[in-house]
Amino acid sequence: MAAYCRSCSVIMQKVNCLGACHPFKSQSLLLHYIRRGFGTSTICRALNPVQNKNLRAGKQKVSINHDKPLTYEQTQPPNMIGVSKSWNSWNSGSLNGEREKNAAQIVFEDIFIRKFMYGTWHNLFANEVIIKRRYNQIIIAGLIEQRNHNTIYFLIGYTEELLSFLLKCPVKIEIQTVADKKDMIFRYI
Amino acid sequence: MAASINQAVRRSCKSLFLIRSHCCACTRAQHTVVSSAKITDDVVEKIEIPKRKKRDSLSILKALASTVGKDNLAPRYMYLDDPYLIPRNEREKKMFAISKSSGREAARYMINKVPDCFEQDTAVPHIPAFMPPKTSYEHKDPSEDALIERIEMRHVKNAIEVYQHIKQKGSQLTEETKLRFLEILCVFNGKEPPPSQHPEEVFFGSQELQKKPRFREDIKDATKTTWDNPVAETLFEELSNKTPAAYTYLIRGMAMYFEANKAFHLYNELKGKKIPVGKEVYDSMLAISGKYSTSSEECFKLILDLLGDMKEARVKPDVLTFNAALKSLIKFAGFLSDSKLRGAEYIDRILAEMKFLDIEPSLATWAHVLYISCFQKNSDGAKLYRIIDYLKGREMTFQDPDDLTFFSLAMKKVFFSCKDLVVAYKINKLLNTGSNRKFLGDKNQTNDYYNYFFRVLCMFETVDKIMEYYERLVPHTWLPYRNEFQFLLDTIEVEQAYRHLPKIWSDIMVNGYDFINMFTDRVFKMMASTTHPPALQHQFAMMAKHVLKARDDLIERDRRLSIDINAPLLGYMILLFLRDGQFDEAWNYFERYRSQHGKFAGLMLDNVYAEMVDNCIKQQDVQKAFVCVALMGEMSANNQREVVKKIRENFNLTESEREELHLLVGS
Repeated sequence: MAAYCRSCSVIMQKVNCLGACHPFKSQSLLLHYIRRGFGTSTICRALNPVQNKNLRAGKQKVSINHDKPLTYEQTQPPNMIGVSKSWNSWNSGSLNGEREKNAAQIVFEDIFIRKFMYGTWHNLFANEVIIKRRYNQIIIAGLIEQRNHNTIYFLIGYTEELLSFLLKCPVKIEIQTVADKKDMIFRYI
Repeated sequence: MAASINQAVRRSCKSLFLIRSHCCACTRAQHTVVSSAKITDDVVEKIEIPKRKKRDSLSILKALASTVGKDNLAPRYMYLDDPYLIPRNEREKKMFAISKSSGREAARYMINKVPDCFEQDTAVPHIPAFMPPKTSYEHKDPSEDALIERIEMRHVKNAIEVYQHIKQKGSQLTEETKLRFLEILCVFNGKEPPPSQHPEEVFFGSQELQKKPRFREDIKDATKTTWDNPVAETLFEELSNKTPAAYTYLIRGMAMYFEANKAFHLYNELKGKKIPVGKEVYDSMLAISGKYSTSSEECFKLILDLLGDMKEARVKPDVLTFNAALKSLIKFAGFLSDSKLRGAEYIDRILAEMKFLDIEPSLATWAHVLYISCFQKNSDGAKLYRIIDYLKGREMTFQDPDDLTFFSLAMKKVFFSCKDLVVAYKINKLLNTGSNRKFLGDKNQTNDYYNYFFRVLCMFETVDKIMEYYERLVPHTWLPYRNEFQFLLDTIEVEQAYRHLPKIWSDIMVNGYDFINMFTDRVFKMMASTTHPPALQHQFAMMAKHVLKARDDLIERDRRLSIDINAPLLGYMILLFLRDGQFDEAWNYFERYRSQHGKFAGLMLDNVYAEMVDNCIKQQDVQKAFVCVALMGEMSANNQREVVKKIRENFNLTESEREELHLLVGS
């Protein structure tokens, strides 16, 4: 059975392997991940340098004038997740045993939450929406642009209540602010 | 068998002991071996495995929590962990509470409008709190099931409607259902239950937010507090078998909504029939005995009667019983002042009874005692001293909702009655003992407590000590208000501790423009009153610059808000610039005053001109000195003569300049 890895679009060899969708190329990388802590997302890395070079998914295209602003998040390709940047969804959905039960449900909910956040907090997010699941709690974190205090307090109350009723679990918002979205620019390409 | 097990245990104990001793530091290995060999002979025989300690699910969390104290520099956990979004003053805190709860209300509105979208139930186990409220009933015809359904959903009005339909039809209800219906009628006084408040609103103090207009009829109904419940009374009359539960519900309902006469009538009926009822009935009767009686003697006699009845009925009282009794005496606290001894006697007798029954008083008990005993005009607060000494070092447990009133009340009494710094410190120490801080109550009570504590501090303490407390509390635990700032500035003025002014001024600025306008005169007058060390002087000048800049910004942006600056205040600021050596800045504002002095109310102080001319002399700028002299003439300053004399002495004036000066002075 062949399937595509959703992050790196390489055909996966073993679908049901624990934690990683591809066998580890080198021992050192495996050690690296073990040392870094317990990441449960799939590890995105091509099998050989040629394939690695041809990876396109999750990488930003270079613009003609080299004036396309990128955040730090966007500058790091997917294979650097867990190395120089972190995951956007934190959950135990890819653990053995959990995966069959509710991995699909979690992915679906995360997509829904992201769409909800970008729509409701329109034009406010300066970076990605981070979704963390702890016990039965969902914590939505992120960086937003500074607006009128009351607007933000209202949106927090509204989002917490509505999402709690939709997802049937306590939802919390942990927001940090930046004065201007331009402060988030890390590099122009 | 038993012997062999015993031996095995002993052997394992020995080996454990040896392992432990081997774990000791290597340097002391020899010593350890010797001592362990000694101990194994005589001690091991006596080893007893300690009994298992009982731990509940919170024990570990409590133990962990006891290792950390309160971080005074952090905002409340409720607020967002972002510097921009943390509310800084009272107005912003109110906006936080209102905005967040109205966001929740908006979400609730959507949920109520399209409940179908929220019907899916993924939670295991099922969480009813996250389900949309039911809009339709399963049983639509008036029947017993329909009534039970409405009672379970707490829809009091609809339940009454169904009950009346059932009565019209003439069908019968079981006694059990009637009792349940009576219970819900008595608890909610025959009205819809009040809407629940969001946590932010609860902390902000419910009374404040209730001031916002309520247009919905059902909410207005719910806030009524008088007993108006004919349905419950007729239902009670119709009960064929009046059980103790029925009496309990009705009496407690009447007591809750202060219907003293009917409640006592019912109680006497119950007493006559010798129906056994629980402690709660006696508690609620005690709570309204103040309402029923007209004098303190009568009230106390009633309390004694009720307690006697309890004894007769073999009902065991607890701390809530005596709290209710003391609370009903509060009503007569003003009258008790005529017979001071009697009030003390009542308190003593109740407390003695509590001690006799081995009931530990809660903070509410002491709050009621304080209310009664320290109400008198010439009260010396003797009771307060004894209470605080009694409570010293105790960690209290929460027993009565009135426990939350103790700390703010005690501090208020310290300020009004005894004015004693030592007691204030003792109360503060008690507050910081263990987890006693949770008794501080909501925002209003917290503010009360710290306001009075701070006023007492300002009366007796040195400025440095006051500022130590100030820096610990402000801004996250407590923000001073107008009077507290006045007290603080008074103290600073007396002790001439001007070094604290920048810190206080920044806190005044946080409170908004009306605060700035209220205190600018006072603060800048204090700064300009003397000269200070250069670093401080520079800070003061920066503050002046900041205020003037903020004013100019405001004028450009929005004309409705403004920082009022009058002529004396501008004078102080010019003085601050001059003393910091910023002659150009000072001249800039001096010039502005000269050209548009109609816009600044009042007159500058005379010494502003004098210092300005001194600085002109330093700069050797004759023309500017002449401008000063001209303005002095215009504003009829008193010290013009001395200033002119100084100019003549310090400048080498040419003939034309002499003439100019002569023309300016006119002599």
